[in-house]
Amino acid sequence: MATMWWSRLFATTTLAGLCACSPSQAMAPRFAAKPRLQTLRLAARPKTVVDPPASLATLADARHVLNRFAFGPRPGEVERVAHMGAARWLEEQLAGPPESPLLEAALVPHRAAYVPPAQLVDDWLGDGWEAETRTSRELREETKPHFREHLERLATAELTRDILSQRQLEAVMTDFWANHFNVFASKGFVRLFEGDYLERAIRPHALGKFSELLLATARHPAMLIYLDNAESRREAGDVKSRGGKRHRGLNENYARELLELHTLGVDGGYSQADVQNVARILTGWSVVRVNEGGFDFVFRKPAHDRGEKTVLGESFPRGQNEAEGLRLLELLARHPATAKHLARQLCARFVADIPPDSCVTAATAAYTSSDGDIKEVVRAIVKDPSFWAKSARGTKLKTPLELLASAARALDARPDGSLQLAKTMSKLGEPLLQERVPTGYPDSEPEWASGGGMLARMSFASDLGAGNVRGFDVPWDESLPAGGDVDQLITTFGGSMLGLAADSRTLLLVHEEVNALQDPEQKRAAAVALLIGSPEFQRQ
Amino acid sequence: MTAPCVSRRALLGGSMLSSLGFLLQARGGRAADGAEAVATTPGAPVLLCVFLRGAADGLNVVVPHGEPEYYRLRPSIAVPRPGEKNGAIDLDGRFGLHPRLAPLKAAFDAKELALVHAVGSPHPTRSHFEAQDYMETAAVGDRSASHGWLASYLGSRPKVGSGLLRAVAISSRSPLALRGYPDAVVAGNLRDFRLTTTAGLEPVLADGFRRLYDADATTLAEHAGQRALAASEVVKKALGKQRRGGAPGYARDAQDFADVARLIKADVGLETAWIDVGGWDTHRYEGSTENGDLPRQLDRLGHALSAFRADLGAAFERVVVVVMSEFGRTARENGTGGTDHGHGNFMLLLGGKVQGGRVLGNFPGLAADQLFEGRDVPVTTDFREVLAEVCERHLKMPDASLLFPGFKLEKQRRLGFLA
Repeated sequence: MATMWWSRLFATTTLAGLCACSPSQAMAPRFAAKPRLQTLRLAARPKTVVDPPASLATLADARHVLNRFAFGPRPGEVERVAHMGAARWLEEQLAGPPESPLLEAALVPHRAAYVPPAQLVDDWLGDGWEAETRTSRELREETKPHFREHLERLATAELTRDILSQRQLEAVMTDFWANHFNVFASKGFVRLFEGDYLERAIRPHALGKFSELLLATARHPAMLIYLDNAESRREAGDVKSRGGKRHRGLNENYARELLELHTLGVDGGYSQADVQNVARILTGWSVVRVNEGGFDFVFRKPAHDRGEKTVLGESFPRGQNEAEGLRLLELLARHPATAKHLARQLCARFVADIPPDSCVTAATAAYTSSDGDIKEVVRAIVKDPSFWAKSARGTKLKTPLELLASAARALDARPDGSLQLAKTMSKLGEPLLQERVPTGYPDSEPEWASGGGMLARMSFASDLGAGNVRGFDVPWDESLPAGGDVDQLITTFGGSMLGLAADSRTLLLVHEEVNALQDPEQKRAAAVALLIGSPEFQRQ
Repeated sequence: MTAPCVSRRALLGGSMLSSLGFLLQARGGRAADGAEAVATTPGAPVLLCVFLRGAADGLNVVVPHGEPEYYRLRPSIAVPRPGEKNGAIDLDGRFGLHPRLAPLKAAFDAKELALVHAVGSPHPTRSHFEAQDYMETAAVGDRSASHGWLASYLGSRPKVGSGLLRAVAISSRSPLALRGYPDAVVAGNLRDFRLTTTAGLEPVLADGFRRLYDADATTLAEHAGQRALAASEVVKKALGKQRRGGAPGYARDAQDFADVARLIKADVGLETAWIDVGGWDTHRYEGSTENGDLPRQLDRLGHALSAFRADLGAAFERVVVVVMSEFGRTARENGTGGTDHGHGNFMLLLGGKVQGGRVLGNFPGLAADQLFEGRDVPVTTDFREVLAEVCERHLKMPDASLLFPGFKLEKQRRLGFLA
């Protein structure tokens, strides 16, 4: 049953392929000839088998799914996915393929990135540090020297996954949800929890049930601190405090963003009263204090507003404590406005900045009928003809993250264990984990297509060609030997990675510019720079 | 009349530019050599918009110290009365400036600074991004609008010279206000607005990218790339070398203001500038005057604006600075030493020709029945009334209503901060 719609789908969509290159160019033999890596990367494909050439349309389909549901193709991958079929590849991704030993090895230097906060503090401050006797201020001061490196390590670890992971769809969805449920790592103690948040709240649910993802974020200290819910409490009026009076009570921050950004959407039909009542329901959802000896979620009963509340017309009777919040999150996850809001965002991510109606309708229906199963929503998007439309292919502007990851993948680069990749992302205008506002980083062209942004991309490509992007190693001599035929390199890369015909304007122009140079290393550097910096490579 | 503003519903999200006729027209020939002389009209007016993203708390910026309710509503974060320790800087007996804005008092006294209170967007949304979008498209309430009002302004004016530097935004991404004018020079830091290459490759790569991005530029990204390559040379030249320790007179964190001042003084044809300042969403630990997030933010803003004014000298006569934010914050402090999303807010106008020294607008008071929905400062002045006056009186647009769909500035509503 599961395979039936796939075969139907491809029967109708293969004609939509737009690859203009000839099969022989598109096979990219030069890039594929990398025996050392191949044993790890292409284990599924016995080397002795000589596959018949894939059709242009099939190659184009493969390139399209790799551009959208992965961070772009690695050398030879378009051809491999074309042979196995884009549909099968995607099902493999949805099932979650085993992780690559290459990634496991590359993450070893970054193990500290995902360590739970309590252990992180132990590692930094030593076992002798008695949390019970200390204040938050002391913890803040004493952990301060470690934060910068820690966050760079975490960003680098995430980038390493984006580049090397075999679980590409999971990596793409983790980026999507990390922005949907954005927290600003540099706000207060969020930095202590960010790694745990990504590793244990976001990633495990990135392709799971939305309701579980929502709950995982709602209870996570990173979110509770970032959007202030940890401190929100039932209205207690003005109370005496140090140096005078202060007002103790609600903070609406999380409640509003929960409705507006995480679930219903700004048009979701909620009122200011709903925002306040959501905030009341969630009073008590907090974080264990430092001197209480922990770093976990806690429900503080005394802080909870025990009165009756109404949200979206649903009555929440008094005195239900923590269960009220759980019921609220279920209500929000199941709400039709949430289905539509998420469907729109996912279609915008995977199909086009202005999501086609057919895609939104299909994704909404899939969400509703599967009780919010993210996998089913992804399947519905791929099944919708708008995903395969010619106008959707190679048209969506990559985010800076997608540019960096796809460039690294296209060149078969391997992160070198240093923390430089995080810095490169800052230069490109998307410093990971550092977006201050709860909307997270956008993924639409009008936001990213600034002059400065485009210059940063071209400069990045230039650095990359010259071998000056630090943070990963490009196996130049294996994949792109300097003494090799640079014209062949341009044609192969353009065909396989970009689907460009050998006589396309872009490739002819690159040939022309590069051939003005004499030195083979410079030729290669210029070719890589112009190809990675080309308008075509900025799109997926 | 040159090309009026483009249909606001013109795609945008879609990246094709074909409907933006004026743009292609504006490219006028090959401006590939950015180093070409930039013809300008010396002394042409410049508008700088400073957008405080996150909803700055206007009640703690322009402090209604004459309202007893203010102190009742804000037991821990109110700014003390003038004369008290760290008290507000009195302006007119009713309002005062936050003490961290002290550097701006001189401009107020010189009548070059005007404040407007209870101003904002008439739309009741308390969503940051929705409210910001409405302020930037100026099509209040129209979620589908995707064309910025500054872009409309630029599109309505004839281009002088190469026009490479008509609009500059210091922002990590393109502000919506400039959406529809992809020629804008947008960068988080103007010092990075350049193509960097390795020695020896520069000529080939610069030429290569110029050609790759010089296709008919039918998409936003390509068009922006093509214009940026040309403009980067002009920017580089105008900014000159960075001094060690930052621009003289400016704090280190005010490089953006220093760079805009440089461009204005360099006469490179700058007409509009935009600076984004984030970090105003003070739900907790907002603070009063000493500690807290807001005093820190205001400290930076006050110093930057005052340094900018001093730096421009005579050129300040042709500059108007508008400071705005998407909405104000709750009149009452919330339960965590901060404020939540509100409605009416303040706007600040600064410039050599501004008839300032006044707090304008109609601020009704802070009693429960004077508040919007019982909690926020109401909006009694539409932000477009302020912008329209700037566009007509400063930028000399005959009718600024063109920029603001569905809005008409009535003469009797003019605030009169510009002659």
